Amino acid sequence: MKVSRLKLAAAALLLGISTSGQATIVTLVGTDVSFTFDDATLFGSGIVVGNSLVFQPPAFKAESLNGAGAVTASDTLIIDVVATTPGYDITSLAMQEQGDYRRKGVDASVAASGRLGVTSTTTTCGILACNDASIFNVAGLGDTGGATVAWSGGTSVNLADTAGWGSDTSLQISFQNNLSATTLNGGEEAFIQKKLGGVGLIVNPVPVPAALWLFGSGLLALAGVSRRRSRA
Amino acid sequence: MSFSTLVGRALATTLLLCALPAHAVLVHLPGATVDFYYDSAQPGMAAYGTLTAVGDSIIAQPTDFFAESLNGAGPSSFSALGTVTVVAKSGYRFKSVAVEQQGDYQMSSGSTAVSTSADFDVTDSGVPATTVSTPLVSSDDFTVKNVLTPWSSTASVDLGTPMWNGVTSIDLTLDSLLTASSGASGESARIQNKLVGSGLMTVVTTPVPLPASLWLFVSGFVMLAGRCRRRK
Repeated sequence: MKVSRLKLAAAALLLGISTSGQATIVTLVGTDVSFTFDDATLFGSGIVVGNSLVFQPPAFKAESLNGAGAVTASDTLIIDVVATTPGYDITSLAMQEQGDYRRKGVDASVAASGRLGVTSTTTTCGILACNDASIFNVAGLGDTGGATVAWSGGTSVNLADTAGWGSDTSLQISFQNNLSATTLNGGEEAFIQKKLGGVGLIVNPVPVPAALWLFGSGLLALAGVSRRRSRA
Repeated sequence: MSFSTLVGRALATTLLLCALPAHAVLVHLPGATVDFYYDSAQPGMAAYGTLTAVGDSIIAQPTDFFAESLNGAGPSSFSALGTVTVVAKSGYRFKSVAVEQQGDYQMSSGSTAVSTSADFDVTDSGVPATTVSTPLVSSDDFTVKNVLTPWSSTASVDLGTPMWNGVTSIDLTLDSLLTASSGASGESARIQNKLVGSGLMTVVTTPVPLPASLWLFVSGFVMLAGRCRRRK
Protein backbone atom coordinates (compact mmCIF):
# COMPACT_ATOMS: atom_id res chain seq x y z
CA MET A 1 0.00 0.00 0.00
CA LYS A 2 2.77 2.39 0.93
CA VAL A 3 4.57 1.87 -2.37
CA SER A 4 1.45 2.32 -4.50
CA ARG A 5 0.54 5.50 -2.62
CA LEU A 6 4.00 6.91 -3.17
CA LYS A 7 3.67 6.09 -6.85
CA LEU A 8 0.33 7.89 -7.02
CA ALA A 9 1.74 10.90 -5.23
CA ALA A 10 4.71 11.05 -7.58
CA ALA A 11 2.47 10.74 -10.64
CA ALA A 12 0.16 13.45 -9.37
CA LEU A 13 3.11 15.73 -8.67
CA LEU A 14 4.64 15.21 -12.12
CA LEU A 15 1.32 15.76 -13.89
CA GLY A 16 0.55 18.75 -11.69
CA ILE A 17 3.79 20.48 -12.67
CA SER A 18 3.09 19.99 -16.38
CA THR A 19 -0.26 21.84 -16.25
CA SER A 20 0.35 24.82 -13.98
CA GLY A 21 -0.56 28.33 -15.11
CA GLN A 22 -3.85 29.09 -16.97
CA ALA A 23 -6.63 31.55 -16.03
CA THR A 24 -6.23 35.13 -14.77
CA ILE A 25 -6.69 34.39 -11.08
CA VAL A 26 -6.14 37.34 -8.75
CA THR A 27 -6.08 37.69 -4.96
CA LEU A 28 -7.22 40.92 -3.29
CA VAL A 29 -6.72 41.43 0.44
CA GLY A 30 -9.32 43.24 2.57
CA THR A 31 -9.31 44.21 6.26
CA ASP A 32 -9.83 40.70 7.67
CA VAL A 33 -10.35 38.54 4.56
CA SER A 34 -8.76 37.81 1.19
CA PHE A 35 -10.67 37.25 -2.07
CA THR A 36 -9.34 35.00 -4.85
CA PHE A 37 -11.20 34.94 -8.20
CA ASP A 38 -10.94 34.99 -11.99
CA ASP A 39 -11.05 38.63 -13.14
CA ALA A 40 -11.77 37.75 -16.79
CA THR A 41 -15.56 37.19 -16.47
CA LEU A 42 -18.50 39.51 -17.27
CA PHE A 43 -18.12 40.90 -13.74
CA GLY A 44 -14.77 42.50 -14.60
CA SER A 45 -11.99 43.29 -12.14
CA GLY A 46 -12.93 43.90 -8.52
CA ILE A 47 -12.09 46.47 -5.86
CA VAL A 48 -11.83 45.60 -2.17
CA VAL A 49 -13.37 47.97 0.38
CA GLY A 50 -13.07 46.80 4.00
CA ASN A 51 -14.35 43.24 3.96
CA SER A 52 -16.33 43.55 0.73
CA LEU A 53 -15.52 42.94 -2.91
CA VAL A 54 -17.16 45.29 -5.44
CA PHE A 55 -17.41 44.98 -9.22
CA GLN A 56 -18.35 47.56 -11.81
CA PRO A 57 -19.06 45.36 -14.83
CA PRO A 58 -18.31 47.20 -18.08
CA ALA A 59 -20.68 45.25 -20.35
CA PHE A 60 -23.07 43.06 -18.37
CA LYS A 61 -26.34 43.77 -20.20
CA ALA A 62 -29.26 42.41 -22.22
CA GLU A 63 -31.07 44.35 -24.93
CA SER A 64 -33.98 43.49 -27.21
CA LEU A 65 -35.42 45.97 -29.70
CA ASN A 66 -38.34 45.90 -32.18
CA GLY A 67 -39.57 42.35 -31.52
CA ALA A 68 -36.14 40.71 -31.44
CA GLY A 69 -37.58 38.22 -28.87
CA ALA A 70 -35.84 37.15 -25.67
CA VAL A 71 -32.20 38.10 -25.04
CA THR A 72 -30.34 36.97 -21.91
CA ALA A 73 -27.02 37.62 -20.19
CA SER A 74 -25.81 35.42 -17.36
CA ASP A 75 -22.55 34.79 -15.59
CA THR A 76 -21.32 33.08 -12.44
CA LEU A 77 -18.18 34.02 -10.56
CA ILE A 78 -16.42 31.75 -8.09
CA ILE A 79 -14.73 33.63 -5.23
CA ASP A 80 -12.53 31.89 -2.65
CA VAL A 81 -12.59 33.75 0.68
CA VAL A 82 -10.17 33.21 3.55
CA ALA A 83 -10.23 34.99 6.92
CA THR A 84 -6.74 36.48 7.24
CA THR A 85 -6.98 38.12 10.68
CA PRO A 86 -6.16 35.48 13.32
CA GLY A 87 -9.03 34.80 15.74
CA TYR A 88 -11.68 36.11 13.32
CA ASP A 89 -14.46 34.07 11.67
CA ILE A 90 -16.87 34.78 8.83
CA THR A 91 -20.47 34.57 10.13
CA SER A 92 -22.61 35.89 7.26
CA LEU A 93 -22.42 37.44 3.82
CA ALA A 94 -24.58 39.64 1.63
CA MET A 95 -24.77 40.28 -2.10
CA GLN A 96 -25.91 43.60 -3.57
CA GLU A 97 -26.57 44.53 -7.21
CA GLN A 98 -27.43 47.79 -8.93
CA GLY A 99 -28.08 48.88 -12.49
CA ASP A 100 -30.54 50.55 -14.80
CA TYR A 101 -33.22 49.57 -17.31
CA ARG A 102 -35.46 50.93 -20.03
CA ARG A 103 -38.78 49.45 -21.09
CA LYS A 104 -41.38 50.53 -23.67
CA GLY A 105 -44.34 48.64 -25.15
CA VAL A 106 -47.04 46.21 -23.97
CA ASP A 107 -45.07 43.06 -24.75
CA ALA A 108 -41.68 44.42 -23.68
CA SER A 109 -40.23 43.07 -20.43
CA VAL A 110 -36.98 42.99 -18.49
CA ALA A 111 -35.87 40.84 -15.55
CA ALA A 112 -32.94 40.59 -13.16
CA SER A 113 -32.23 37.75 -10.74
CA GLY A 114 -29.30 36.20 -8.96
CA ARG A 115 -28.08 33.58 -6.55
CA LEU A 116 -25.53 33.66 -3.76
CA GLY A 117 -24.18 30.18 -3.03
CA VAL A 118 -21.66 29.44 -0.27
CA THR A 119 -19.77 26.24 0.56
CA SER A 120 -17.25 25.61 3.31
CA THR A 121 -13.79 24.42 2.35
CA THR A 122 -13.03 23.19 5.89
CA THR A 123 -16.22 22.00 7.62
CA THR A 124 -18.69 19.20 6.90
CA CYS A 125 -22.36 19.37 7.87
CA GLY A 126 -23.55 15.77 7.81
CA ILE A 127 -21.99 13.91 4.87
CA LEU A 128 -21.26 16.92 2.61
CA ALA A 129 -19.30 20.14 3.00
CA CYS A 130 -21.47 22.76 4.76
CA ASN A 131 -23.32 24.81 2.15
CA ASP A 132 -26.14 27.31 1.81
CA ALA A 133 -27.63 29.41 -0.99
CA SER A 134 -30.12 32.22 -1.43
CA ILE A 135 -31.88 33.52 -4.53
CA PHE A 136 -33.26 36.97 -5.35
CA ASN A 137 -35.61 38.29 -8.03
CA VAL A 138 -35.87 42.02 -8.72
CA ALA A 139 -39.58 42.91 -8.74
CA GLY A 140 -41.49 45.83 -10.21
CA LEU A 141 -39.55 46.48 -13.40
CA GLY A 142 -42.57 48.12 -15.09
CA ASP A 143 -42.99 50.11 -18.30
CA THR A 144 -40.82 53.25 -18.18
CA GLY A 145 -42.07 54.64 -21.50
CA GLY A 146 -38.49 54.44 -22.77
CA ALA A 147 -36.91 56.39 -19.88
CA THR A 148 -33.89 54.95 -18.05
CA VAL A 149 -34.66 53.98 -14.44
CA ALA A 150 -32.47 52.50 -11.69
CA TRP A 151 -32.97 49.01 -10.21
CA SER A 152 -31.36 47.22 -7.29
CA GLY A 153 -31.56 43.82 -5.66
CA GLY A 154 -29.72 41.50 -3.36
CA THR A 155 -29.79 38.70 -0.86
CA SER A 156 -27.79 37.31 2.05
CA VAL A 157 -26.67 34.05 3.62
CA ASN A 158 -26.22 33.54 7.36
CA LEU A 159 -23.94 30.61 8.18
CA ALA A 160 -25.82 30.06 11.47
CA ASP A 161 -28.89 28.98 9.43
CA THR A 162 -27.12 25.73 8.51
CA ALA A 163 -27.08 23.17 11.33
CA GLY A 164 -23.53 22.39 12.44
CA TRP A 165 -22.00 25.45 10.77
CA GLY A 166 -22.32 28.95 12.35
CA SER A 167 -19.01 30.44 11.26
CA ASP A 168 -15.99 29.57 9.16
CA THR A 169 -12.51 30.75 8.22
CA SER A 170 -12.54 29.55 4.61
CA LEU A 171 -15.41 29.68 2.11
CA GLN A 172 -16.09 29.38 -1.59
CA ILE A 173 -18.74 31.76 -2.94
CA SER A 174 -20.73 31.22 -6.14
CA PHE A 175 -21.94 34.65 -7.29
CA GLN A 176 -24.52 34.41 -10.08
CA ASN A 177 -26.39 37.07 -11.98
CA ASN A 178 -29.03 36.73 -14.73
CA LEU A 179 -30.47 39.51 -16.90
CA SER A 180 -33.10 39.21 -19.61
CA ALA A 181 -34.82 41.60 -22.02
CA THR A 182 -37.72 40.74 -24.32
CA THR A 183 -39.70 42.52 -27.06
CA LEU A 184 -42.31 40.96 -29.35
CA ASN A 185 -43.33 43.83 -31.65
CA GLY A 186 -41.83 46.63 -33.72
CA GLY A 187 -41.32 49.90 -31.82
CA GLU A 188 -40.78 48.13 -28.49
CA GLU A 189 -37.67 48.54 -26.35
CA ALA A 190 -36.23 46.45 -23.55
CA PHE A 191 -32.80 47.06 -22.05
CA ILE A 192 -31.30 46.12 -18.71
CA GLN A 193 -27.76 46.51 -17.44
CA LYS A 194 -25.93 45.56 -14.29
CA LYS A 195 -23.53 48.34 -13.32
CA LEU A 196 -22.50 47.42 -9.81
CA GLY A 197 -22.34 44.17 -7.93
CA GLY A 198 -20.68 43.23 -4.72
CA VAL A 199 -20.40 40.79 -1.89
CA GLY A 200 -19.77 41.88 1.69
CA LEU A 201 -18.75 39.70 4.61
CA ILE A 202 -19.49 40.01 8.30
CA VAL A 203 -16.44 38.93 10.25
CA ASN A 204 -16.48 38.49 14.03
CA PRO A 205 -13.87 37.60 16.65
CA VAL A 206 -14.19 33.99 17.74
CA PRO A 207 -15.82 34.14 21.21
CA VAL A 208 -14.02 32.56 24.16
CA PRO A 209 -16.27 29.63 25.08
CA ALA A 210 -18.41 30.22 28.19
CA ALA A 211 -17.12 26.92 29.55
CA LEU A 212 -13.63 28.41 29.84
CA TRP A 213 -14.83 31.14 32.26
CA LEU A 214 -16.80 28.56 34.24
CA PHE A 215 -13.78 26.29 34.44
CA GLY A 216 -11.43 29.15 35.37
CA SER A 217 -13.69 30.51 38.16
CA GLY A 218 -14.22 26.98 39.53
CA LEU A 219 -10.47 26.43 39.60
CA LEU A 220 -9.93 29.71 41.50
CA ALA A 221 -12.63 28.76 44.03
CA LEU A 222 -10.99 25.37 44.57
CA ALA A 223 -7.62 27.01 45.11
CA GLY A 224 -9.19 29.35 47.69
CA VAL A 225 -10.84 26.49 49.57
CA SER A 226 -7.68 24.40 49.70
CA ARG A 227 -5.68 27.41 51.04
CA ARG A 228 -8.24 28.04 53.77
CA ARG A 229 -8.17 24.35 54.72
CA SER A 230 -4.40 24.16 54.93
CA ARG A 231 -4.37 27.23 57.22
CA ALA A 232 -6.97 25.74 59.59
CA MET B 1 -5.54 -5.29 7.24
CA SER B 2 -5.24 -8.74 5.68
CA PHE B 3 -2.68 -9.51 2.99
CA SER B 4 -5.37 -10.01 0.34
CA THR B 5 -6.89 -6.53 0.85
CA LEU B 6 -3.38 -5.08 0.79
CA VAL B 7 -2.68 -6.71 -2.57
CA GLY B 8 -6.17 -5.74 -3.76
CA ARG B 9 -5.56 -2.11 -2.90
CA ALA B 10 -2.16 -1.98 -4.54
CA LEU B 11 -3.69 -3.60 -7.64
CA ALA B 12 -6.62 -1.18 -7.70
CA THR B 13 -4.41 1.90 -7.47
CA THR B 14 -1.99 0.54 -10.08
CA LEU B 15 -4.93 -0.27 -12.38
CA LEU B 16 -6.19 3.27 -11.88
CA LEU B 17 -2.84 4.65 -13.01
CA CYS B 18 -2.58 2.29 -15.99
CA ALA B 19 -6.16 2.97 -17.13
CA LEU B 20 -5.48 6.69 -17.49
CA PRO B 21 -4.97 7.91 -21.05
CA ALA B 22 -1.64 9.47 -21.99
CA HIS B 23 -2.90 13.08 -21.68
CA ALA B 24 -4.54 12.45 -18.31
CA VAL B 25 -4.02 14.85 -15.44
CA LEU B 26 -4.35 12.90 -12.21
CA VAL B 27 -5.46 14.98 -9.26
CA HIS B 28 -5.23 13.67 -5.70
CA LEU B 29 -7.42 15.20 -2.99
CA PRO B 30 -6.82 13.76 0.48
CA GLY B 31 -9.94 13.38 2.64
CA ALA B 32 -10.20 12.48 6.33
CA THR B 33 -10.48 8.67 6.05
CA VAL B 34 -10.49 8.33 2.23
CA ASP B 35 -8.45 9.61 -0.71
CA PHE B 36 -10.01 11.03 -3.87
CA TYR B 37 -8.34 10.67 -7.28
CA TYR B 38 -9.62 11.94 -10.61
CA ASP B 39 -8.46 12.75 -14.10
CA SER B 40 -9.13 16.49 -14.48
CA ALA B 41 -8.64 16.13 -18.27
CA GLN B 42 -11.64 13.78 -18.72
CA PRO B 43 -14.09 15.51 -21.09
CA GLY B 44 -17.01 15.89 -18.66
CA MET B 45 -14.97 17.19 -15.75
CA ALA B 46 -14.55 20.76 -17.02
CA ALA B 47 -18.31 21.35 -16.67
CA TYR B 48 -18.29 20.33 -13.01
CA GLY B 49 -15.52 22.80 -12.16
CA THR B 50 -12.78 22.56 -9.56
CA LEU B 51 -13.34 19.90 -6.90
CA THR B 52 -12.46 20.58 -3.27
CA ALA B 53 -12.15 17.89 -0.60
CA VAL B 54 -13.76 18.65 2.77
CA GLY B 55 -13.76 15.88 5.38
CA ASP B 56 -14.74 12.73 3.45
CA SER B 57 -16.58 14.68 0.77
CA ILE B 58 -15.82 16.45 -2.49
CA ILE B 59 -17.68 19.51 -3.66
CA ALA B 60 -17.69 21.77 -6.73
CA GLN B 61 -19.61 24.89 -7.71
CA PRO B 62 -19.93 24.78 -11.52
CA THR B 63 -20.17 28.07 -13.42
CA ASP B 64 -20.97 26.89 -16.97
CA PHE B 65 -23.23 23.89 -16.34
CA PHE B 66 -26.52 25.08 -17.89
CA ALA B 67 -29.09 24.55 -20.64
CA GLU B 68 -30.89 27.47 -22.26
CA SER B 69 -33.52 27.78 -24.99
CA LEU B 70 -34.64 31.15 -26.36
CA ASN B 71 -37.34 32.31 -28.79
CA GLY B 72 -38.84 28.94 -29.72
CA ALA B 73 -35.53 27.21 -30.38
CA GLY B 74 -37.15 24.01 -29.04
CA PRO B 75 -35.43 21.64 -26.65
CA SER B 76 -31.81 22.30 -25.77
CA SER B 77 -29.72 20.11 -23.48
CA PHE B 78 -26.41 19.99 -21.65
CA SER B 79 -24.86 16.91 -20.13
CA ALA B 80 -21.60 15.98 -18.42
CA LEU B 81 -20.16 12.74 -17.12
CA GLY B 82 -17.44 12.72 -14.50
CA THR B 83 -15.71 9.93 -12.60
CA VAL B 84 -13.85 10.15 -9.31
CA THR B 85 -12.03 7.22 -7.67
CA VAL B 86 -12.26 6.90 -3.90
CA VAL B 87 -9.75 4.77 -1.97
CA ALA B 88 -10.41 4.00 1.70
CA LYS B 89 -7.41 4.81 3.90
CA SER B 90 -5.77 1.97 5.80
CA GLY B 91 -7.98 0.88 8.71
CA TYR B 92 -11.25 2.11 7.18
CA ARG B 93 -13.96 0.62 4.99
CA PHE B 94 -16.90 2.25 3.17
CA LYS B 95 -20.34 2.37 4.79
CA SER B 96 -22.34 4.51 2.38
CA VAL B 97 -22.01 7.18 -0.28
CA ALA B 98 -24.33 10.08 -1.13
CA VAL B 99 -24.47 12.59 -3.97
CA GLU B 100 -26.25 15.93 -4.28
CA GLN B 101 -26.87 18.53 -6.98
CA GLN B 102 -28.26 22.05 -6.46
CA GLY B 103 -29.14 24.72 -8.94
CA ASP B 104 -31.77 27.14 -10.15
CA TYR B 105 -34.10 27.64 -13.11
CA GLN B 106 -35.99 30.51 -14.68
CA MET B 107 -38.51 30.41 -17.54
CA SER B 108 -41.02 32.80 -19.01
CA SER B 109 -44.70 31.96 -19.18
CA GLY B 110 -45.97 30.16 -22.27
CA SER B 111 -44.76 26.88 -23.75
CA THR B 112 -41.51 26.70 -21.77
CA ALA B 113 -40.12 23.79 -19.76
CA VAL B 114 -36.96 22.74 -17.94
CA SER B 115 -35.88 19.40 -16.46
CA THR B 116 -32.98 17.60 -14.84
CA SER B 117 -32.06 13.93 -14.75
CA ALA B 118 -28.91 12.28 -13.46
CA ASP B 119 -27.52 8.80 -12.78
CA PHE B 120 -25.05 7.97 -10.04
CA ASP B 121 -22.94 4.83 -10.59
CA VAL B 122 -20.77 3.23 -7.91
CA THR B 123 -18.33 0.59 -9.20
CA ASP B 124 -15.61 -1.53 -7.61
CA SER B 125 -12.39 -0.15 -9.20
CA GLY B 126 -10.94 -3.66 -9.43
CA VAL B 127 -14.10 -5.60 -10.44
CA PRO B 128 -16.24 -3.60 -12.89
CA ALA B 129 -19.06 -6.18 -12.57
CA THR B 130 -19.60 -5.03 -8.98
CA THR B 131 -21.65 -1.94 -9.71
CA VAL B 132 -24.81 -0.14 -8.60
CA SER B 133 -26.59 2.53 -10.64
CA THR B 134 -29.17 4.81 -9.06
CA PRO B 135 -31.05 7.85 -10.40
CA LEU B 136 -30.93 11.14 -8.51
CA VAL B 137 -34.35 12.13 -7.20
CA SER B 138 -35.42 15.76 -7.39
CA SER B 139 -37.97 17.21 -5.00
CA ASP B 140 -38.95 19.95 -7.45
CA ASP B 141 -41.59 19.78 -10.16
CA PHE B 142 -40.17 22.61 -12.33
CA THR B 143 -43.49 24.41 -12.81
CA VAL B 144 -42.67 27.89 -11.45
CA LYS B 145 -42.70 30.52 -14.20
CA ASN B 146 -40.98 33.93 -14.46
CA VAL B 147 -38.97 33.95 -11.22
CA LEU B 148 -35.61 32.36 -10.51
CA THR B 149 -36.33 29.23 -8.44
CA PRO B 150 -33.98 26.78 -6.68
CA TRP B 151 -33.91 23.00 -7.28
CA SER B 152 -31.93 20.09 -5.85
CA SER B 153 -31.58 16.34 -6.36
CA THR B 154 -29.96 13.57 -4.33
CA ALA B 155 -29.13 9.86 -4.30
CA SER B 156 -27.29 7.49 -1.97
CA VAL B 157 -25.89 3.96 -2.10
CA ASP B 158 -25.47 1.59 0.87
CA LEU B 159 -21.93 0.17 0.79
CA GLY B 160 -22.48 -1.99 3.89
CA THR B 161 -24.14 -4.79 1.90
CA PRO B 162 -22.30 -8.11 1.27
CA MET B 163 -21.50 -7.24 -2.39
CA TRP B 164 -19.12 -4.50 -1.17
CA ASN B 165 -17.25 -6.77 1.31
CA GLY B 166 -13.50 -6.16 1.06
CA VAL B 167 -13.87 -3.39 -1.55
CA THR B 168 -11.49 -0.55 -0.68
CA SER B 169 -11.47 1.39 -3.98
CA ILE B 170 -14.60 2.56 -5.79
CA ASP B 171 -15.32 4.66 -8.87
CA LEU B 172 -18.11 7.24 -8.50
CA THR B 173 -19.62 8.34 -11.82
CA LEU B 174 -22.16 11.13 -12.14
CA ASP B 175 -23.94 11.45 -15.48
CA SER B 176 -25.97 14.64 -15.28
CA LEU B 177 -28.35 16.08 -17.88
CA LEU B 178 -30.19 19.41 -18.01
CA THR B 179 -32.81 20.34 -20.60
CA ALA B 180 -34.55 23.63 -21.40
CA SER B 181 -37.21 24.25 -24.01
CA SER B 182 -39.05 27.25 -25.43
CA GLY B 183 -41.85 27.09 -28.01
CA ALA B 184 -42.29 30.63 -29.35
CA SER B 185 -40.54 33.93 -29.98
CA GLY B 186 -40.13 36.01 -26.83
CA GLU B 187 -39.97 32.93 -24.59
CA SER B 188 -36.93 31.94 -22.56
CA ALA B 189 -36.01 28.94 -20.40
CA ARG B 190 -32.79 28.36 -18.51
CA ILE B 191 -31.71 25.77 -15.95
CA GLN B 192 -28.35 25.70 -14.18
CA ASN B 193 -26.43 23.26 -12.02
CA LYS B 194 -24.66 25.30 -9.34
CA LEU B 195 -23.40 22.72 -6.85
CA VAL B 196 -22.27 19.10 -7.12
CA GLY B 197 -21.11 17.20 -4.07
CA SER B 198 -20.51 13.65 -2.96
CA GLY B 199 -19.64 12.37 0.49
CA LEU B 200 -18.72 9.05 2.08
CA MET B 201 -19.39 7.50 5.42
CA THR B 202 -16.69 5.11 6.60
CA VAL B 203 -16.21 2.62 9.40
CA VAL B 204 -13.02 1.79 11.32
CA THR B 205 -11.80 -1.75 10.56
CA THR B 206 -8.76 -1.94 12.89
CA PRO B 207 -9.02 -4.62 15.63
CA VAL B 208 -11.24 -3.44 18.47
CA PRO B 209 -9.02 -2.31 21.38
CA LEU B 210 -9.76 -3.49 24.95
CA PRO B 211 -12.28 -1.06 26.42
CA ALA B 212 -10.85 1.35 28.98
CA SER B 213 -13.61 0.27 31.37
CA LEU B 214 -12.04 -3.20 31.58
CA TRP B 215 -8.81 -1.78 33.05
CA LEU B 216 -10.81 0.36 35.42
CA PHE B 217 -12.80 -2.66 36.54
CA VAL B 218 -9.72 -4.86 37.03
CA SER B 219 -7.79 -2.18 38.97
CA GLY B 220 -10.81 -1.51 41.18
CA PHE B 221 -11.17 -5.22 41.79
CA VAL B 222 -7.51 -5.58 42.74
CA MET B 223 -7.81 -2.65 45.14
CA LEU B 224 -10.90 -4.16 46.75
CA ALA B 225 -9.11 -7.47 47.14
CA GLY B 226 -6.15 -5.68 48.75
CA ARG B 227 -8.43 -3.90 51.22
CA CYS B 228 -10.18 -7.11 52.15
CA ARG B 229 -6.83 -8.77 52.87
CA ARG B 230 -5.67 -5.84 55.02
CA ARG B 231 -8.86 -5.87 57.09
CA LYS B 232 -8.41 -9.55 57.83
